[in-house]
Amino acid sequence: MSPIAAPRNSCVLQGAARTTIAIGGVVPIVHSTAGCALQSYLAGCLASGGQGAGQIGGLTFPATNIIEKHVIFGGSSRLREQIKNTVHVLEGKLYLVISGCAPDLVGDDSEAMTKEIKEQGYPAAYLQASGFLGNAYQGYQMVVKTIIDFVAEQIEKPPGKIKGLVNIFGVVPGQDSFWQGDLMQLSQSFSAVGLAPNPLFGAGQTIENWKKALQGELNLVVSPWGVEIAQYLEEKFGIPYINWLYLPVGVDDIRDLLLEVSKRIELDGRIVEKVAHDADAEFNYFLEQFADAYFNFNFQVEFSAVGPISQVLGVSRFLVNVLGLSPKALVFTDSPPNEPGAAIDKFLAKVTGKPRLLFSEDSKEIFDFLKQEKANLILASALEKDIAAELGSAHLSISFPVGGRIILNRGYSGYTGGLNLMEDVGTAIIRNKMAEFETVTQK
Amino acid sequence: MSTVKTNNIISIQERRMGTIGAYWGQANLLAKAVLEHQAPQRIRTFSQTKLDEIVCALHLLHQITDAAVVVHGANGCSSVKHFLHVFDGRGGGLISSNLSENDSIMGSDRKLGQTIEKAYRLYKPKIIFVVTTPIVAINNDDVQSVVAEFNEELGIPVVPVFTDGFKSRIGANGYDLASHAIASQLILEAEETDKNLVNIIATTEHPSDIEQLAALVSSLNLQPNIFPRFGNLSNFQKSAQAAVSIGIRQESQILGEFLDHERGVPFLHPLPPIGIKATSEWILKLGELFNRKDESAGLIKTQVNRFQKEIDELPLALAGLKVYISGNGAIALSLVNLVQEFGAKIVGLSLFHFNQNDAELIEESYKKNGWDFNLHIAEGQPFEQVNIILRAQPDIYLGELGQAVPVAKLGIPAICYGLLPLYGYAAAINLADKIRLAIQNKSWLERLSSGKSPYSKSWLEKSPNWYIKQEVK
Repeated sequence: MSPIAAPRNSCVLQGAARTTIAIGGVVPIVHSTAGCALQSYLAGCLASGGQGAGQIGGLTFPATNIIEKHVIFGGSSRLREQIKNTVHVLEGKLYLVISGCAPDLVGDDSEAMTKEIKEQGYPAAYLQASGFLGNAYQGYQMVVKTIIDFVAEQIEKPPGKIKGLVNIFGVVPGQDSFWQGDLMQLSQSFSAVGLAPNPLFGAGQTIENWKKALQGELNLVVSPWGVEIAQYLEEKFGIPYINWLYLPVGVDDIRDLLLEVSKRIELDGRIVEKVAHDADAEFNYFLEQFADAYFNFNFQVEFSAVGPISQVLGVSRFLVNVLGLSPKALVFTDSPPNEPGAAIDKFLAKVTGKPRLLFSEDSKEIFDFLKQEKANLILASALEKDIAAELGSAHLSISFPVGGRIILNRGYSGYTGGLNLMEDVGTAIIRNKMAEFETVTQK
Repeated sequence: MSTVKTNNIISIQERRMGTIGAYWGQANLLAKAVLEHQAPQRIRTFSQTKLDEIVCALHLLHQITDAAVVVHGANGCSSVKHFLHVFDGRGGGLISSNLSENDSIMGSDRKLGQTIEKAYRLYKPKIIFVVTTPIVAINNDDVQSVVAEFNEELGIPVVPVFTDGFKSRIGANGYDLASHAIASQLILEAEETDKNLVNIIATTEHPSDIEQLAALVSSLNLQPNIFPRFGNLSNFQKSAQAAVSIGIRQESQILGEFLDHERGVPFLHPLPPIGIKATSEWILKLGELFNRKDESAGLIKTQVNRFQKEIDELPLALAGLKVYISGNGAIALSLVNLVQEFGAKIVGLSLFHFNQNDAELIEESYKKNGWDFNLHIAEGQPFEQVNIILRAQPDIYLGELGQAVPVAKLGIPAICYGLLPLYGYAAAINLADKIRLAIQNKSWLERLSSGKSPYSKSWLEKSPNWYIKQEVK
């Protein structure tokens, strides 16, 4: 663990806090020093496509804001008081106590404090989320596992399956700036073939969806950050999983994924083919329209992509396999525990002109790498705008942090994700060309 | 009272300025108690997240153009960098020492050394700030000797900022810690004075506000020297030569007083030029001070003429409106004056914190305006504001970044002035106009407020200060 310039993967606590507020009715109680929950809002919401605090986030976030005396004499009693009062001030279906570096270092018994309120009949769970334990993606995994255990505790006998129910894991709220759109579009793609997707986070998702999750027929994991959860659910509830590892972007990848699903649970492959066929027809209609701009502005360029494995591979596959672009450099920023070498190799095997790879979240290292590789199009984060400007390249944010634009339900996964990506990549290239044009004509 | 020592230790705001962070009650009682050093510190037994020292210190240090910042902690402690990057401009280099569980047990001295070295190598800065975090403070890791070693080795100032994150209840203490580090280590004694040089101590202002002040200073044929934000090492070094320092925000006090007491540069801490009248007074005062009365009177005349139409018309739209204002001490009170100038009326006030500087201002404002509403002191804490505002039923709410949404959800028109310029005539008119527009069309507000409130009914029926208790020592 060496020093990192402008690290973008945050910490366990902030990832956990940000993840929690993406589920309706779940009230986090952060037991830490004052700024912890606030930073998760400032970065994970505001700097993630200008997203909002929602019901419980932002300044509404319950937090103990511990001070020196709690560090010296222990902060358990402060937490007890905070929990007791939170249940009176904020209505929740689950109170999730999340402890951070300072109370964990001084040995507060946050778990016992949570147990106390549970014994009083309130729905509560505890997660030790010391920031130094890891990054926001790990925070996501830990929250998911904690809530699964919470809902599992409430179920007396093993639940039956709900036909066609597919839980989606691996899209990390806030840390993936396009999480809402990606989950919604993935869900739409699943609904279109008659399955019942369970995205668990975002619009309309509550603790009820989590209870239902235990009755899933299948778990789908679209990043390295869900595999552990899927394994856990397989062991505990016998739910099989598909480890897809990257976002399926556009018609082809969704069809491949759904065909894989059809091998695992009851799903008629012919319906998948039929839906894909229709989607393909619509896509081709737009592809034809896209063609004018494609040639007028010379979209067929070399690109570099920076972000977590899931986004970089998903987006790159679409750009290469559908739009005919060539990858120059790929930067994977999320360093998952199990190096997904195989998926990356599989992607690279199909690509002519091998891109160079970098595994790093160090913003300066990434800057230097992109500078060396000089692609015309840089799909990255707000942190790479400068290098794109320096190289005169077009820039599009596909990963956290994202500034200067609002992202609500926009995403790059699913059938519509491919079209969204075409619009955004096209717009980025055109703007760049026009800016170049303006500079020349104004001289 | 001198608040600055030249050594590395600075006491927390609560001790230095009697700052209070939690209160809802009669303003004059609090003001009296604070002035007499008798105000008991109150605590919240339920609280919501708020600013801390680290966020505030990083905000101040982020825009020092030739500095690099080392955040000595877990990666999350530096996440605010991304917010600053997209809301405040890219700023200088930042590097995290990326402390792991192992470091938290075995100590982090070596890691700090590596981080400082890397910061130097990557950014070639003229200054390196080392911002500490709770992990380092709790483990009592030796920061001082690592810093001293690199000071010598690199030949540039390596300046520690001891933001433990839990010493003070007042987040703004982080501005003081960072300012004190700058003052005590980077502002050396000057051999000569430049009587045309005017320090502008830029802290929490919008960049356009600083630009305005600088333009004003320049228009009087004086030379502005802007720091710490938007400045660099040479601005710090020059500051001791200046004829005078101007610091508008509370957060400028440490640097201003240091320059005054330790470097002989008088510190002017005037009320902010917020509102039409206050701006004119401000310009006049500046003119008087530098013997440029005619120039400043001329400036006021042309400026006011330019905006005469708006100055005449906006009060028609704003007259009689009931306004609730939330913000930081003198800024919030200046906003009070601004909206009153346009004919509106104040029905409630929340201040982030309350110290000896605020006490007199507040007492005077309450007396002058004949206010009888309770004063609310809170950094954030929307649960209390929502409760108070439901009772006060203002026509419009003005609040800082993050504060407007919970209020708007009550169906009350709200404005966030956190990212708006506030100083000068144009800014005053702009803000008044924003109020006019917020009142004029409430369709968005109606939809937003139709959603469910996260607060329980029983809380909203309780007294707003239910969870504010006197601290048991």
